[in-house]
Amino acid sequence: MTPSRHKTALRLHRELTDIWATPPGWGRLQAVNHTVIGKRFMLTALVFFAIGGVLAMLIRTQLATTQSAFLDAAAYAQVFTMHGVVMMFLFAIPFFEGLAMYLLPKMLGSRDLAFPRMSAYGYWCYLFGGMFLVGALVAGVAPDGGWFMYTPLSSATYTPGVNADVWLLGITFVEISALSAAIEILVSVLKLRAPGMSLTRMPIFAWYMLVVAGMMLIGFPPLILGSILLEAERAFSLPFFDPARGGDPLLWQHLFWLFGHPEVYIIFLPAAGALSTIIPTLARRPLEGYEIAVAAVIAIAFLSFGLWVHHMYTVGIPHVALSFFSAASGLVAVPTGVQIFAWLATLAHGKPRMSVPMLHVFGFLFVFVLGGLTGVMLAMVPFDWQAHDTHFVVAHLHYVLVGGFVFPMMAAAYYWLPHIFGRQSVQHLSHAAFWMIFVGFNLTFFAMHLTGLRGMPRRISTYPPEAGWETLNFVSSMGGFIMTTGFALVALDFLLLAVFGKPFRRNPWRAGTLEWAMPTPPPAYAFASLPEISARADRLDPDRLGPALAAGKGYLGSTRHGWMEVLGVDMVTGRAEQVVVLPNRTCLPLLTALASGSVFALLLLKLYWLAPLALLVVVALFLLWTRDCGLTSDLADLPVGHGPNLPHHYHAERPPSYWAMVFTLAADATLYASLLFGALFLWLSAPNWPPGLDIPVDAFTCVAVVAALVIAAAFGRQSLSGNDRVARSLCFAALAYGAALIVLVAFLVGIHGAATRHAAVASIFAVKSYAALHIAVGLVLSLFCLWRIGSGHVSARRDLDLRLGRLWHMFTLITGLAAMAFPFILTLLAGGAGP
Amino acid sequence: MRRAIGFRGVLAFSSVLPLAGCTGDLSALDPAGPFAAAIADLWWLMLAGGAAIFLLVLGLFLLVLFRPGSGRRISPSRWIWVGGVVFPLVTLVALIGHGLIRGEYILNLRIGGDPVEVEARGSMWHWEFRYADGARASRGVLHIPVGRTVVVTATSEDVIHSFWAPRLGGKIDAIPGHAATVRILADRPGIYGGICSEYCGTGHDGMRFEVHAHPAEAYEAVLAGLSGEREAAR
Amino acid sequence: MSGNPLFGLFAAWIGWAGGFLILYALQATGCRAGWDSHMIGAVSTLRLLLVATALTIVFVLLGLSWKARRNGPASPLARIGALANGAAILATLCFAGVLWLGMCA
Ligand code: HEM
Ligand SMILES: [Cu+2]
Ligand SMILES: [Cu+2]
Repeated sequence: MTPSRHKTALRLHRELTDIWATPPGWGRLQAVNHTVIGKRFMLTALVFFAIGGVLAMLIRTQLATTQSAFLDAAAYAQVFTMHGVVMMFLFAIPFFEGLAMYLLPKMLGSRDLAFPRMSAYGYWCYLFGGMFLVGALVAGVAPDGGWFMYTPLSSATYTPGVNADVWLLGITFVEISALSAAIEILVSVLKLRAPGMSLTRMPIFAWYMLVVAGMMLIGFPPLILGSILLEAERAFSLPFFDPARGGDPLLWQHLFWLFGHPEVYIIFLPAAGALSTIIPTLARRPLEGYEIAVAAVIAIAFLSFGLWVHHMYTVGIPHVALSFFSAASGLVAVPTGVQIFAWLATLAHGKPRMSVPMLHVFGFLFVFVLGGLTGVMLAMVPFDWQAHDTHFVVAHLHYVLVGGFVFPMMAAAYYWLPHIFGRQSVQHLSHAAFWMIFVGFNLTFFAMHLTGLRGMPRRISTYPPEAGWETLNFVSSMGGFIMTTGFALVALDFLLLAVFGKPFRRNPWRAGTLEWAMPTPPPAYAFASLPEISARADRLDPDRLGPALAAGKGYLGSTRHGWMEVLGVDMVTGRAEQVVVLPNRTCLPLLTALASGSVFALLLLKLYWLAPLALLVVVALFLLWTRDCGLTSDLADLPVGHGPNLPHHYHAERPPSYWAMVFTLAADATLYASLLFGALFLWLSAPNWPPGLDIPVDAFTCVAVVAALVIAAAFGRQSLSGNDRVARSLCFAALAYGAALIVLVAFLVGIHGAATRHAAVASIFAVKSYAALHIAVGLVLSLFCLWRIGSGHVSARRDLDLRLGRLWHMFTLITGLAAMAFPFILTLLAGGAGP
Repeated sequence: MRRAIGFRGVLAFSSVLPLAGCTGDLSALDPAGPFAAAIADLWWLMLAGGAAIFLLVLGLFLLVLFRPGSGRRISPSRWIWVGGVVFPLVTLVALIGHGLIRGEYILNLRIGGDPVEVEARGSMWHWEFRYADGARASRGVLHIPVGRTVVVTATSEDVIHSFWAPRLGGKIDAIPGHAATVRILADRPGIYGGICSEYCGTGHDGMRFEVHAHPAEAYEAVLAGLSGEREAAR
Repeated sequence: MSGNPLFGLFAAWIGWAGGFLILYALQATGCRAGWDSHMIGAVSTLRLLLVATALTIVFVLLGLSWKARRNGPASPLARIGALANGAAILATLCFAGVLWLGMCA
């Protein structure tokens, strides 16, 4: 590097650091940077992993001998439930979210994610939600109905305490964080990439995360809906799941598993994405079969939504229906096989080198293939009739989760820790630790296949000596302790690496991906300037690119106005199309998360009148977020260092926030569809239908609300056309929304008594409440737009807020129409022949 | 069903079997009737196939890792298409078809004339069995005739339980508001274990029952000796 | 519809997912309405309906992927789309059970 080049690099580094870095001390609470938030997610997830591991050891201690008196049945129930909950919701999902947040911008040649404050908010929600759950465990009131919380066991009759509420509220809180992360990842991968990086040039990890985020968007809403309905049943006696009043416990199972099965692929795919990145580097050859691997990931995404009923083979569903799910469960192994053979082909044609990550890749392959094979076995309906809910399933699920997530993540940790700390492992403990985990794991869980087939159901705390399960259980417990020691050694190994590891210059693995084209540990701004990509982004040369980018040779290689700038590209081609200016560090995410947390805490304490007030605070805080979004005057296109000048994102046709709105509405629509289908499902399947009381259909309400919504949408739309009439149109829209809200709330108050008597009325109540909520948000949005006009954020070229509002108005109109038609349809159906 | 023995022989070398001495009255690997046997048979078949596939994949992995270059003669796309698409597709379609056929067989198998109908009612935390439309009932013990298909209809009074007698057939969930059925059959007289296999609260561990299989004549006598449901429920 | 090339990646799979839900819903509705005991010749109305639906799904998917193939250029994205669409068509094997399995038991 020439001296002058070096000087520019240093100057640029200082300027960018001033803008992007997180301040020390209390300033840490304002952090919004993806590197910081990503690390926080991962570290917190590891703490939860340790907690879950301790719980696992309690389970294994209890089961080591027959008729153990270590824990009583009630305590054991909390322990196994919380073990599952902590591992699934507080370890696995947040850990890969953190990894994705940390890596994606760096791999895609961007400086941050699209909504930095949203990532911070998501982190705080996760932390507070997790603390709720663990706090409940310490207080002895943790959830105790198993991680899938089947009703009626989790209903108010059989779990009168707060245990189930802790699950429902805490998990919903964490899910909100996961949904926001999903939207964040979708938009960031689609819009914030280096110029020239078309979709098919993306490093494959980004494809995996794109698909995973899409799955989360569709997979989580059913569970959020289920949790809301169950909480409504517990708190307000709306009988969605109570068979005596036209509800159905099976509705919960469908909603839960509609989330729950995709969930395990949501956990596996990021790990597979990491493997698809690591294996080629270690094989010194780019991934073989990139295109078919992407197609395989897409196939897995869809198939994984078509097999939720394989958790319900024993509830009495007809064979032909089971066959759809059984076949889909079996076929999902094909795209998984495609990936495995793509990795094998890469290794076969490369020059693989042995290293610690490779050791864990071996662990992955060994364990995951076994888990996949038992998975195919369980997909066969008759076999599942025996193995379902036994320790065979416990064995299977740990083989896939530990094989498909923990081993790959350990490979990833050994691979990327040098990136995080700027130090390389000295490898004293790594091998011993791996073998302890590997041997311990197989001892623990291989034995469980047999325990299960020999008749041991899951979730029992004691078993009689004559059952003959003791030896196997003892082996499992010993294996468990060996494995735990191994994990402790890994933790120590990581610590040693962080403290004593030896520093390196750049790119220790000789990887071809962009995250290595920066100094390590990475600076807050990641790239001093952004690269132009003209090849597949796993075949680059970080050693050559890195210094050039550091010297500001790429895009955006200078600073202006103290802005945090990145480039927005066309989704498909990767052509640069806008300069996205990100909002800077702030305490607002923390405050908003605290307020959101208090909503959940108030609900938990059953202070139902205070909760809406806290909700208002949340809304107000979110509105405050927008203060430093947008522009108050029109801007000319901005120079970006190369090529033509580009517009500020606020002037762009499709800025990131537009897509965020579209994806939010997609998740929202999924929730709504689940609700409507849920109600129809009750009509089809629940006992005690048709309801013995009149279904309230109020034509006046429906007509009035529909009219108001049409008016609101029309005016909301009109606000876009002429600048002078914008404010007036918005006022009319707001008035129409207000009227609709009043009529609807009056109707809801009128039927709330009947809603507790039969699920038919309860589902009408739920559907109309959904509409009312959207109308309320529509009202807020109209007023918000008026406020933005007042504060000078709106002009003919700056109509983003109005366009976002219009999306909402149209959505509210469509869902509102369906909500108004819904009671009539239900009456028509329920009026027919009884079951 | 005799084929099962063959598979067991073949697999005796695998580390599994020394541990799997098939005893204990809850072992699904020790079937005592055609329903459980059909499933155990399926298990041994899948175990054999699974073991072969596992060894194949692991072997390939170790080969390409420790003998670099050994897999280079085969082109990458052949690796992927043959190993990742064609082979699993063919195997899985065969297995799924087989599984469905076997399921249909189990769902329709009738042995010994018209099936005997019984009702299993789970409640926290015991089982009550009703015969002849509730005219007779027993608690904790299900009486069945030997050699005849028994259709068990499971229901629940409170939370979800699951009726499972592993040596006689698969399980069925007892869900409040629903009545689902499972078929079981015992080839020979004896006492077979049963256990609730859906978590149902703190008494879940102890929610066991027994199935007593009687020869046909004895069965009638045993039934006749049972009281009606009210006394049984006491 | 063909405006966003991303859509071409998922078209057949979205069709598959929709078809899956329709089949499952039809089966459940049919059983509740008793269409399985209403016979047309030797087969029940319900089975006939499900078989017809499954075939329709296959044809729709074939049509979708044929259309995508015809008007798409041979870009890497189009190749991925073709693979994904082909996989979705193969996945209609999931519906083969409608031919012979027990309808309502
Ligand atoms: C550290 C080693 C681990 C050990 C020794 C272990 C042990 C166990 C055992 C013995 C059970 C069965 C409890 C019962 O049925 O009574 C169980 C359940 C479960 N485990 Fe683990 N586990 C470990 C790690 C994990 C990981 C990494 C995950 C997920 C990422 C996980 C997820 C689950 C889930 C979801 C359940 C089901 C809980 C329920 O039945 O509600 N476990 N675990
Ligand atoms: Cu599943
Ligand atoms: Cu139980």
